[in-house]
Formats: sequence, structure tokens, C-alpha cells
Amino acid sequence: MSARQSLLSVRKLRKQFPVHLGFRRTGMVSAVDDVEFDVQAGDTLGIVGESGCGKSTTARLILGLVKPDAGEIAFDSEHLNALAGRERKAIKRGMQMVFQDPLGSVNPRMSIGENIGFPLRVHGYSAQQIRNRTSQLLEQVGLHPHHASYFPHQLSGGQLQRVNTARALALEPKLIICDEPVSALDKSIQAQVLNLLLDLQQQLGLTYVFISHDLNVVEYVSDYVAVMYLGQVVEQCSSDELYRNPLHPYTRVLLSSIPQVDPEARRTSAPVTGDIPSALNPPSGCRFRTRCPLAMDVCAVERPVIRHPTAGHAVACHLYDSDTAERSAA
Amino acid sequence: MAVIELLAPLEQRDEIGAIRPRSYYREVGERLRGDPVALGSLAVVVVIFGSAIGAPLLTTYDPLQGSILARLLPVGSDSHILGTDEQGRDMLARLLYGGQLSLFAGIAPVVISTAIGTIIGAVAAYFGGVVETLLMRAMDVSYAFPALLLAIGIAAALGPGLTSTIVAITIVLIPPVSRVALSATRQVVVQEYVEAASVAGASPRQIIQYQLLPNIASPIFVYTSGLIGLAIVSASGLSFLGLGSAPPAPEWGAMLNTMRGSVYVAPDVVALPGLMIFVTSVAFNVLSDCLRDALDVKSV
Repeated sequence: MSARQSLLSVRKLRKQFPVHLGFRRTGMVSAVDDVEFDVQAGDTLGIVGESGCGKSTTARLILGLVKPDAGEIAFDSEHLNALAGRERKAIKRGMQMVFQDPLGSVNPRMSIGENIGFPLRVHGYSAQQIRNRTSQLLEQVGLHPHHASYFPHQLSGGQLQRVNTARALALEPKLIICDEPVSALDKSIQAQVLNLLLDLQQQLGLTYVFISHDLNVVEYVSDYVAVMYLGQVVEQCSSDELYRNPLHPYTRVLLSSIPQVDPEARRTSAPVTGDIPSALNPPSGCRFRTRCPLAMDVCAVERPVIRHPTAGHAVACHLYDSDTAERSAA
Repeated sequence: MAVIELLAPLEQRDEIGAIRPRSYYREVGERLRGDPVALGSLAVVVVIFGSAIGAPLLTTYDPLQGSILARLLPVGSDSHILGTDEQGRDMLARLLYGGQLSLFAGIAPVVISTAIGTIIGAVAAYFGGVVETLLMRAMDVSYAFPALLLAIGIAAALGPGLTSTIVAITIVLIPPVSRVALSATRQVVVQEYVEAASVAGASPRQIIQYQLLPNIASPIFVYTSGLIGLAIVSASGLSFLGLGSAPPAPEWGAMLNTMRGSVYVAPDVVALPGLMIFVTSVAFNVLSDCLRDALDVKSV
């Protein structure tokens, strides 16, 4: 997208999960299918999509929590697949994660301080270093150093999400993957946590991959947005461009589903009908065709390839096949 | 003024120091202290333990040295409060010293099998797949035999003695403990804090030690504290069958065995070791139930 070096580069990432019925393997769920994107240092890439579209699996694949079937993940110019053992551990401390569930992502038997200090303990820091760094982190995320001796059940959801963020920051990462970090919080607290994340990005020069189903939240934080549908990226461009000029029918439907405060501004495009199809047996050709208001014959036959109708705007849809062809012919 | 305070974000309202840090175990302790049944059963356990350990201070009689002239004296005799056995040994002394052996034979297997079973279950659940299949199917083999029969078989194969009782009961208890650990770990291992530890670069050993074990400890503790009563009865049972501590050692089960011929002569004296086994095992079981409530474990 730009001349700058990508911090994170994902190519042809693929993951299928086996489905078992008793002892028989009855099929494979295609959770992530040929996902590709780049994130430049200092930017925020938002990933949006309905639940079950593979957003969280993508995050877990990048962090190595789930082993990919195929694909390349390059972080900081290092190919993660090629690394193992100590080298891998050293590279991977550069990417950390903020989880969705504020209470579920902290160990209830550890104090807040122990939770935040755990990554440091794993990397062999001394008790004194851990104590100092923990108080510093607590202040950085807007809590008090005294909170270190509290236990998770004594803090609110918003406070715990700050703790979660502090733990992700402990190893001074370059990249933080936020998996629905505010979905479990009240609206008023959401804003506080989002602003904290944005402040930290400015102060520390962090890069984010921000996963959410909430289009408003993604618009607020992201520089670039990738829209996922059933394990595939269907559209990818800068945040401004996406919200001003959505190209993929799915993106248009998604955007029109954002509740509008101003009745005059409400869009009136056709609502998407039907449920998201089963990833166990995805539709042939374009995976969105079963729900697409503009589906054509070709959509059932051919899988759409990624086109670039305008510079920096990638979309996988047959609507733009001729568009691009004409452009390249001219 | 008051309104403005109410509107202030929640996070800023709680004053630092207004609430005290309270760990889970501090809360458990507070709950136990408010439970009279727990305190009662704990008191019984403490008294039994204390009297076993403090036996030399509580009686001047030798548990192994009897007098032919003072055989089978009834409970309440002048110099022997709890009477004497068939060889004229003081029953109180034998019961006190016997507690040392019986409690040890009951508790040691539970402690050892808890340690081993917990690690097996946690490792199986964390790694899953082939590791889980190998470990847990190996555990399942023992379920092919009735527990006490298996213990008798192992103790018989090892030859009589306190050690073989302990080994036999330990082996019998490991599979059920590992199953409890397995199911407890399965619930914990999917939590996001385990993923967070993995993202932080923790090794499987560090994850099991710091993230899993502290979170599966309470269900396992509840389960195994209930096993102490069972293990004491089993150990006494093995001794009764002649597979545990050999006479003249004053073990409760062995005492029942050697004295059973005198049951029609001095039923009250003969019943005493049985009473000790009964009281001890009930006290441990009641305490275990109270622990379950205090630890707030739904079911095991």
C-alpha cells in the first residue's frame, strides 16, 4: 500500500478445522481461506465481519495459538514459520494480544500485579524489575499502582480491560492484536478504553490489528479496514475510502446496517436476508452469492479474484471484473 | 455537588485503599470461619491428630507391653480408663499410638496420589490428542477391578507391611484423582488467560504450573479431602486382613483383627478401634463437604 516496510505481512493464510461426528471425520470447516494483508508500522488495521467469519481465528493464527495449514506470516521481516525455539520466542514477544473477555482473560488466582507481571516473569526478569515495571504499566493505563495487590473479581470490566492492556504492553511489543477488546463493555466504558488504546498508540508508536464486529468502533480506530466474509477477505482499503465508497455488496449491506441517529441520513439499501451459510459446506464460486442482492450467474461458477478498481482499494467481486478489464485495456 | 460525583466515571470513584485486596483463599477462610459444622469437624480432626502426635505425653503406658494379670479389663477400670486388650495392654495407649499409624496410612496415599494424579490429569488435558489418550486409557485399566480388590491384590503381591498398604492405596487412588484433574483442567484450559500466557511466551510447564494448577486446585482439593476418610478405612481394612501393619503394632484395623475373638467377652473394648476409624473418617468427610461449600465448587 505504501513504500514503507510492512511490520506484519500475511500471505495465503489458510486454516481448516476437522469436524468429527463420533469417531468419523465428517468434514472440514474452512475457517480462514487465503487471507492476505499487510500492516505498516504505526497503522491500525481493522478487521470486520459477522461472528464466525474467521476474524478471531486469523488473530490466533498470527500469534501462533493455532497452527496454520498453509500460508506465510512475516513479522518485522522475519518469517515466523521458519523460526523455532528461542528465536521464535524472541520475535514473538514483539506481538501481543488484548482479549475480548475482561474477566476471562485474567487469572483469577493471581493478583492484578502478578497477572501483568507474568509475561516478564516468563522472560526471566527479576522480582524487583517486575514490580517497578508493573507499577509503571498500571499508571500508563490509567490505574493506580495500588491496584497491583487487588484480585480480578474486585475490579470492574473496564478496569480489567486496562489490566489486560497493561499485560499486553509489558514486553514492549511493536504489534498488538486486539480481539474485540471493547465488545464486552458498556458504551461509556468502551469510549474510555478505545481512547486509552489510541493514546498508547501515539505515545508508544504501536501498531494495531483491531478485530471487531462493530463498524462504528472500527471506523473510529482504523487507518485501513479489511472486511471478512466466511473466512475470506472480500474488501480492503483505507478506512475513509471504505466508509465513503464501499464497493463490495457485502460491505454496502454491512454499512447500511449501522444504526443511524439522523433519520434523514438513513440508507435504504436492501437488507441482507438469510443466515450466514455453513462454513462446513460453503457456496461455490463467490461465498456471498447466496445472500447477495446483485448476484449474477458467474458468481456461482467462478471464485472472484481480487481486483483493484481504484488504487489502494481491493475488492473480490465479479461486479468489478469488467471495470478492471476496461481500465487495463485503455 | 452530589450529582457531579455520581456522574464521575465509575473507575475514578472507588478510592484507592477504600477496599482491601482480598484473595480467593482469604474469602474461603472467612467463609469457613462462619460455618459451625466446619469448625466442629475441624476440631475433631485436630484433636485426633494432636492426640496421635502427642501420645507419649498423654499416656505413660507402653502400647506394646501388656500384663497377663490385667487382660480384657472393661472400659472404666481404675488404672486403665479404656480397659485392656487380650494381652493386657492399655487400650488408651494403643489407640493413641495406633492413630499415628492409621492416620499416616490413610493420609500419605491421598497426598501422594493427589500430586501424581493432578499432574497426569493436567498434562493429559493440556496436551490433548495422543498424550491424553495414552495417559487416560492407562488410568482406565484400573477401573476394570473393584478398587478394594485391586488394593488387596497389590498389597498381597508386595507382601504385608505399612509401605505396601500405602503403595497399594496410592495406586488405586491415582486414576480417579487424574480424572477429576482432567475434567477440571479442560474447563480452565480454554480460558483466555491461558492463551494470554501462551502469547507471552510461557512454556507448557510454566502454563501448567502457574496458570492451570492454581485454578484446578480447589475442585481437586475438595475431591481428595473426601478420599482421606475412604483411605483410612481402606488402610484399616488391609491391616484387618493381615496385609498392613503386622501385630503387635497398634494399628486400628490390625487391633480389630487380633481382638475379634474377644468380642463376646468384652464387646465395649473390642469396639473402640472401630469407633476411632468411624469417627475419624466421618470427621474428614464432613470437613470435606464444608470445604466444598467454602471453596464454592459446584460439584466434583
